[in-house]
This record gives sequence, structure tokens and C-alpha cells, in this order.
Amino acid sequence: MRVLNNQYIVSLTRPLIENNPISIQILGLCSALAITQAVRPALIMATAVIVILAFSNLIISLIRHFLPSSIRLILKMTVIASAVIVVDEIIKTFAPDMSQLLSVFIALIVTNCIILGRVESFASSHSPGLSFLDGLGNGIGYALLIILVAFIRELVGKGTVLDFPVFESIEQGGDYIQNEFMALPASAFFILALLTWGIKAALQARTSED
Amino acid sequence: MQQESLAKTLSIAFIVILFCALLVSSAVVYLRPLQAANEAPLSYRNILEVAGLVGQRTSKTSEEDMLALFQQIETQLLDLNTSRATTQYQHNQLNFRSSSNDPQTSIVIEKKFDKAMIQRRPNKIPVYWVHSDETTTKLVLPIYGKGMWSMIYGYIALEQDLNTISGIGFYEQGDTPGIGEKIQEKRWLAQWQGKKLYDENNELALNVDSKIKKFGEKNFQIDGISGATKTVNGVFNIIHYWFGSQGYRTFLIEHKS
Repeated sequence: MRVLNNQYIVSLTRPLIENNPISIQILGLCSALAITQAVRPALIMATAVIVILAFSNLIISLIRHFLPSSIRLILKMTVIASAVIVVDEIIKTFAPDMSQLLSVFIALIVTNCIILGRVESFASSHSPGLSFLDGLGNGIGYALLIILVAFIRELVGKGTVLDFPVFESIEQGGDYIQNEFMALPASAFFILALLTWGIKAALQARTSED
Repeated sequence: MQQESLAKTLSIAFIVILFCALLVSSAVVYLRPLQAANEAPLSYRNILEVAGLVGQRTSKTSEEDMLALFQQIETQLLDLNTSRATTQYQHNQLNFRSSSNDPQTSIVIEKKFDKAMIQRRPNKIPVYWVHSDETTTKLVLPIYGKGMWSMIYGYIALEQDLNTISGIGFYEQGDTPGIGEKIQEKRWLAQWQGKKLYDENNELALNVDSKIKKFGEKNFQIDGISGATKTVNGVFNIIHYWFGSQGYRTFLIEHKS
């Protein structure tokens, strides 16, 4: 029983840092570059990914014994795409301004490699409970990283966090010069690279100590 | 995954697809009415933006502020068949999108006139007179038509002379992200300001990219967007339909004097 319990905890917690989908598995980078300009869109995107990932994993795991291997991927994509459309419609309904800001990126979660990656490598061979937690864990791991990147980009780029001014910009009578580079997607590359480097180095240092 | 008969494969595929289809369609059907409620405040914002009363999307103007700003706008309902405008009209009383599908409230556009590819044109459409101060008045008009993949919806604001463009904006489109989508960018939209629609003979002379063969005069010329020719052509066609004889032309000429 204890082993089983641990297994559940591990599937939830391992993807947070140790096996983070972005910094360790290097998946889902395109969306991480595109929507990390500010924290608010990153939060919405992260929530969408968590929900879609958890439920796609759950549904696929439930039907994993019935899926014919010849059309397995197509059916998985169908399930993922449906989940994405449902979430997209919900965002359009309850956060229309965010939906306009994120435009196509919610719909593009279909092609986010984290989703198909987890569904194919985990949910196809694990129980529904474990798969759901794995989806949740990977979603949260993705969320942690993009929110961190978005936080850095918004703070340095615009001097705000969640549109709340931290540094007064020059236009508003303060003395903070906005860093326009941080507004460009390329800056996310550099931040992500540094974070990946840092996380990997820290994990390696820990394993060599053991 | 030992035996995989064709029948089994097909039936599993059918069940999964049926489940997904039910999920998606019920989500869309149940959320549509709630989404429609969102459109009203958004359309206030679009009109105010084009009229230059509020800043671009990034600026934070609360819904109450927008509603207050909207009070200075005089809304009229224009009958496009007679070019007469009625004053007794509340914003959002009429949804011209649904009325353009109803044979009772719209006309079929003959193919050769249907530049904007909208097939039917509503008989009545709301127009907005913006009195930003005592001396200046702008007119905001809805425009729409087909781009490359999708219907493009927007508003155009005219200065007091009803010929000079003061602003234009597209609030809904589904053209290629990152390419055709650029018609919503401030940078591209900014060049419309100050351009003129009609020449001295009241001929529609506004040129987008090089749709009219000879490059027009500077006053009538809008640059295209490289890579988005079809979308930009769509915008040109939309302008030429809505400011042509089936659209606002007569109304504008009558009000100029």
C-alpha cells in the first residue's frame, strides 16, 4: 500500500522540477515562447494546459485497452482536440479579453508536444488514477516554468507584475526604462535556456552528492 | 492488442468520435448564449477605439467608463435601400449579422456587385455619430466582408468631411495568425489615418496595395502587407463594397452638403 501511495505522489511531484516538461523534457517550447510576455495570459494558458493534460490523460487511460494500435494516434489526437475545443470555448465565454489576447495559442494546445507526449508515453500504459495525476503534475510543471518566465519578462520588460506597477516607467513619471527586448519572444529563449541550465546543474550536483 | 479485426477498429473509432462530437457540440451549444452576452461590451469598445475615444486594447478602461463614453455617441439606424437614417435607435437593438440572413430584412447581392463576398446585405445597419467636442463630429460605420479564410468585421471612422479616414479597426477575423492577422496591428492601421475615400468627382479612389492599377496619389494609397496579399485584397474589397453604391455612398454624399 505504501509503495502504491508513493507511486501516486511520485507521478504528481516528479514532473514539477525533476522531470519538468519544459526544462528537462524540452517539450512545449513554442507556446512557452509565445505567451510568456505577461503573467496574466501565462496564467490562463497554464490553467488551460493543466486541465487539458489531466483530462486527456484520464480519458485515454480509461480506454487504453480498447484502442486499436493501427489508429491509436488518430484517436488520441481526436480526444485531445476535443478537450482543447471545450476549454477554448469556456475561455471565450468567461474571459473574452484573454481569449483575444491569446488568440490562436489556446487552439494550438492541440499540437503542444507535452500533451501527446504524456498521453502516448504514460497514459497508454498506466491506470487512470496515475495518469490523471501525471497529467496534473506535468501541467503544473509547465505552469511553474512559464509563469516564472512570464514574471521575469513582465517585470523587466514593462516594470509590472499582473499589470500592477512595480517600477514606475518613465512614461508614468517614474525612472524605469522599459526593456523592450523582454517584450520579444527571443528573450524567452534566453530565460528558458538559463533556467534549464540552472535546474539541470542543480539536479546533477544533488545526484553526485548522494 | 492481439486481435484487431476491421469491425472492432471501426466500431472503436466510431464510439470515440461520437463521444468527442457530443462533448464538443454540447460545449458549443450551451456556451453560445453566454458568449453572445459578451459581445455587447466588446462592441462598445470597438466603436470607441476606432473613434479614438479610448486607447488600444492594452489600455484599461472599465466597462462603466466605456458606457459613459458611449453616451456621447448618437446612434442611428441607416436604411441602406433609401439611405435614410432614423434616430430612434438604441445600440444593440439590431444584430445586423442575424438580420442579414433573414430574407425579410436583407437583400441578395448580385454576384457582380458582391465585392465583399457577403452574399446578402442587411437592409438596415447602425451608424454612430461621435460628438467628441462641440465643433467636431466623426462618423463610425460598420464594415465587413471576406478575407482569405474568414469573415472580417470592423469599424471605420470618418472625419467631419465624411471623406477623410480618421481611424479603422478590425475586431474579428480568422485569417492566418501572424500573417493575415496583421491587419489588426496598430502599425498597419495607423497609415489609414488622414487618407481619403473619394476623389473630387466623388469616385471611390482609395487604393490598397496595388489593387487599382496605377498607384494612386499619396492621399488615397494604403500599403499592403507582404505575405498577406489575399487578406489585404479582402480589406480593399470590403471598403469598395461598403463605400460603393450599395453601401454608404449615397448617405455620405447627402450628408456632406
